[in-house]
Amino acid sequence: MANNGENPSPDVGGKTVKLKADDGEIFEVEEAVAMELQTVKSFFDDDGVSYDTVVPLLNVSSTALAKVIQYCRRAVELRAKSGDDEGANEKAREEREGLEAELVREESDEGIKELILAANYLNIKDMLSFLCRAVGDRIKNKSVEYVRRFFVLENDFSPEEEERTRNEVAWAFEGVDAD
Amino acid sequence: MSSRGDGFFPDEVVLQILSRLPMKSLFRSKTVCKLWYRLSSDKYFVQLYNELSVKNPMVLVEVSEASESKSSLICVDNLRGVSEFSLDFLKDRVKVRASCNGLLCCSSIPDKGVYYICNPMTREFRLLPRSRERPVTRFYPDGEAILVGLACDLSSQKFKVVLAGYHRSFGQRSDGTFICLVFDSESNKWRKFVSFQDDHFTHMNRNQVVFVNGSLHWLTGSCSCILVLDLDCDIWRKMPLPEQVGSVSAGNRIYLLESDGCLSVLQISDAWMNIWVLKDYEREEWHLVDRVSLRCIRGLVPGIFPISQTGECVFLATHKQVLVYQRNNRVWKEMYSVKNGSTLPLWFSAHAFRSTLFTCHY
Repeated sequence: MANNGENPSPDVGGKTVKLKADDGEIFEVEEAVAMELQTVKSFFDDDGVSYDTVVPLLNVSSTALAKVIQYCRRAVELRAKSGDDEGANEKAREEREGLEAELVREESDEGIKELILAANYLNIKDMLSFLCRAVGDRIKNKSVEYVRRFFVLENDFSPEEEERTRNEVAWAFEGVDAD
Repeated sequence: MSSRGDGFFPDEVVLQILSRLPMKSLFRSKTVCKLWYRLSSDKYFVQLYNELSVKNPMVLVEVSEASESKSSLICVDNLRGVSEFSLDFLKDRVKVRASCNGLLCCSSIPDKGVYYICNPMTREFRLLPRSRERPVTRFYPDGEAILVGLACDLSSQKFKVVLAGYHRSFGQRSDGTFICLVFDSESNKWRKFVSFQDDHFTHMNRNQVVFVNGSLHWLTGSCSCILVLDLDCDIWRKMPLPEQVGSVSAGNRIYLLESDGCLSVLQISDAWMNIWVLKDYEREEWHLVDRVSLRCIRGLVPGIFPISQTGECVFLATHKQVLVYQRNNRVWKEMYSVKNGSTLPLWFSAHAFRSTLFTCHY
């Protein structure tokens, strides 16, 4: 499935939905895929909103939206493959895990943070879940200073408070990376 | 509502990330800033963390070195493999007696009658007050309770500890009465009640106590039924095993485990492991959920014991190994194996465990 962030073309004959990213770029997406984004689903659950309406996703960049759509499209396909057959189920599950691993592996820290914000805003539970786990894996052995920089957080403890808190959890600091 | 005032992510995203961290990393994150210190003690966060950890079954095993006559603990799970485990923070030599929802009940080895409740992942612990009703060492035959149970209710963060056994009267013979001492974390007190029992319990029966539906459950030595202690009304009763389990013989053994919040019976014969789950507790309806072929591990079957499970996998222990069986793709994997000769078999002191933020403080 070739996709370089360009507008993917929808299947002929299927219902599609138009999504607009923060820079105005419009993505036309199959209905089943669009409904993976709970925010979009809620948008259409409102009475009187026609499917022709373009959904404005003001907080999502076109880069992030393109990746989200690509992942959701694949996830919908894999879900269709699995059913009552245990073997097919297992294969689909493995493929989905491979898809997640690949997405995560290729992303920079900034990229993954952007994807998390998108998945959160668009309310895609499964995607948010594995992205958060991936970020957790990236920072789990990092120093406290590193974590502050990564999450853009200020140290608002006073020196005494910080020392007291550190002593409280001193055992957790055995064997941590230096920055 | 996304508020970027405090860092890159909104609070709800931070909670999702923190809830997936291993415990040590989570505790280090408390020192990042005041918001994170607060977030990780938040009631909703604790619930979120505990719900996620339920999906990761673990096994706690005591490994004893023949040469050193010292023992250490290891923890085995699917996500992180094998890790060292220590109860040194208790500052006492202890034996793990029961495990429930992230807490352990440990008895002091040098001081009989001294019990601790601890969360080994957060290093919190609580020394239980000695029971004043009667000396706790009045149990028959060796002064120790036969049955030790730990009932931890995750949602209320309250727990109860049960010490039960036959009573030893002054003349050192059992007088047939069965004493039950129950410690309530809320009142910080022991209470006692007496009943009559006529069961005996094997070592595995005693290790594998299961807390579900507000009651503690043990398999009896005769394997004829499950002994149940209803902790809401302090009543003992008996529950039938699945009909098809049939009679138990040397080549046909049964074990009691938990499975995703339900009672589960595992039956091991030469070539098969049958897994029953009590899906309807009120109606006492057992469902045979899996029949696992033991062909791959044929040589290990006589000495293998199931220790911990979820709907997705089963952890088992032999004399020298800890294995996991994945039910969805029917794969067996060795998770741990003892390097040197060990005096005690691993299954002897193996407990089901999971990592939670259960607090045991008063």
